[in-house]
Amino acid sequence: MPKRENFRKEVTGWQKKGIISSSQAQAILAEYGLAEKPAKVSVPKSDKKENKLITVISTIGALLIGLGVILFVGSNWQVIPTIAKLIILSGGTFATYFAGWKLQYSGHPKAGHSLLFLGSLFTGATIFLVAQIFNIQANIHWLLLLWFIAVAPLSYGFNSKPTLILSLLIFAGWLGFYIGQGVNYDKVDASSIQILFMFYGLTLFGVGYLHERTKFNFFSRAFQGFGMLFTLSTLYVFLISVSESWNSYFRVTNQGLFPPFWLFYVFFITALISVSASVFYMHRGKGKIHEVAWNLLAFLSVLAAWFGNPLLPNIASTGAYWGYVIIFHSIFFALVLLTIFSGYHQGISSYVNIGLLFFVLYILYLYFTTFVKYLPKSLAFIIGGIILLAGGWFLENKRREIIQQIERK
Amino acid sequence: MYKKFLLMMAFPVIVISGLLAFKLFTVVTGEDIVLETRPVDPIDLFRGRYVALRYQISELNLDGYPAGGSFQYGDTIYATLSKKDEYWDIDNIFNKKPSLADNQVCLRGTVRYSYGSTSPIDWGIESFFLPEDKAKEVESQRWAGNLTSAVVTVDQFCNPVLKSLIVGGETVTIN
Repeated sequence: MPKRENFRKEVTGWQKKGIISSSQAQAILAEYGLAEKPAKVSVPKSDKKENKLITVISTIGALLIGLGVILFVGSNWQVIPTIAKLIILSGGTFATYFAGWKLQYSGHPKAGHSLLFLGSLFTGATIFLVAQIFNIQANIHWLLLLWFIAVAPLSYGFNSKPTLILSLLIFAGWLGFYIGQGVNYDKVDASSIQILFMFYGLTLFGVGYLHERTKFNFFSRAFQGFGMLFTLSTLYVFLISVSESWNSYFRVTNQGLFPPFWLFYVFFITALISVSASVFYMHRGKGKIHEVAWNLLAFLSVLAAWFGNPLLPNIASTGAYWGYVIIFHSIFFALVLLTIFSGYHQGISSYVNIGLLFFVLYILYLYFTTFVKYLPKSLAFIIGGIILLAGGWFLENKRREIIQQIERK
Repeated sequence: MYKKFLLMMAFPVIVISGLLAFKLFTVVTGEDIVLETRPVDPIDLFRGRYVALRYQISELNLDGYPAGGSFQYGDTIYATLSKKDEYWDIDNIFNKKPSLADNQVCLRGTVRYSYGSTSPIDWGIESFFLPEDKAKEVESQRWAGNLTSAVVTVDQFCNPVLKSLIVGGETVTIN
């Protein structure tokens, strides 16, 4: 009897934490004779939508407050003494975390997560306030790194996805500032920096992959989604720069194949580990084929960018150059399609959206670099408009269709 | 339950108090020096308006020093300074923390781009944060040539903190 009672408490706890809905809780309890069978067992669609809406609204609310506080720090308002500002902000940070943590375990997980996210924004504001007090050099990269170190572990401690996403954004921001301040562009090509970001994207994808096998598997999609975004967006920029003459501006140093910048090799190694791990798991029958395929194809395209790029000045305007460009375009396009397919196959609508975004961007690029060049301007614009209208209609339908299929799964 | 929460709170607390303690150490134990300035002025994304400063010691002809030839972009550079007339100025530069005479302090910085024989150096004291209205005031004073120097505290490990500006003979301090 106590066992059954414990089980009831456990299930009620899951419901309070938002892991399962009330109808699911009732259905589970009914299976063991602890409740009446509900009329409908599945989670109503409206429940899901409502949950999403609550998450979005409360996260936007937290974001607005957090940005407001950061702007307040920026205004350097002198009516409140600095020490009072520091005490208020540090106290506010701690109180917000505490309230978020309490709410998370008392049946309001969404509001709780939003407050934990807000606490992480306040942590950043406090760091910037201290930096302002001591006139630490403006836009210095390591303040963002400190912010990341302060909040990233909390994502895991509090199981907070919004905090994890914030941490990933802060880290990306640090990387951008660090590269901006730490790279000697007299010696390192800007194109090598693009490749570094591709390796970073692949690393994130791999980290997400590894999360699938841990108790933090609910973070996996956030890592993989960001990984896909980073890899595809930097590949897209590289693809355009390789195809157009402005690529030459990115290669001015004659650095050769190996850029003299240590971070490049750190992310190369982590990306290599990421790909190897996915192949290893696949070999052991634990991996998913489309994930491994995405990882391998993306890694291949980054290698093509890395090793092909230094050769381009020597083969410019030759058949070999155009061969390289066509192969690179084909790999990129295949990767975009694979992203959509992977999202569809796993039932993850955000992957489908990322894939479709780059599909549209790629089509737009092709349109503006081919049709506009060869047709009279007026005709090109009219045809472009028709393609965009028809394409928008088609993609909207297709996207809806795929997402409906995903929801049905 | 509460143990886990407190454990999690340790991360932001350690980071924020570490940053605070690191800079307070310099302010409390350091020695004040006055450096001659050469200013310019923009905005930091998270901290608002600031006066961007350059100093007489911001541009160095590295070849003029014994260790000058060994520096490359991004390298850490140390300088010993002593008081000359009104302002403090560089005696020598090193690639390791130097030992100091009684009348000297040291600064640690980073070598930036090198154009010919002159190299810009960042000493970490190039930003002075101000409220909007004060920034405008200092800006106009700057154009009039009245922003002449800055007071910087330097600790024994060569870490500096920019404390105040001297504008038109008066000290501008925030905080």
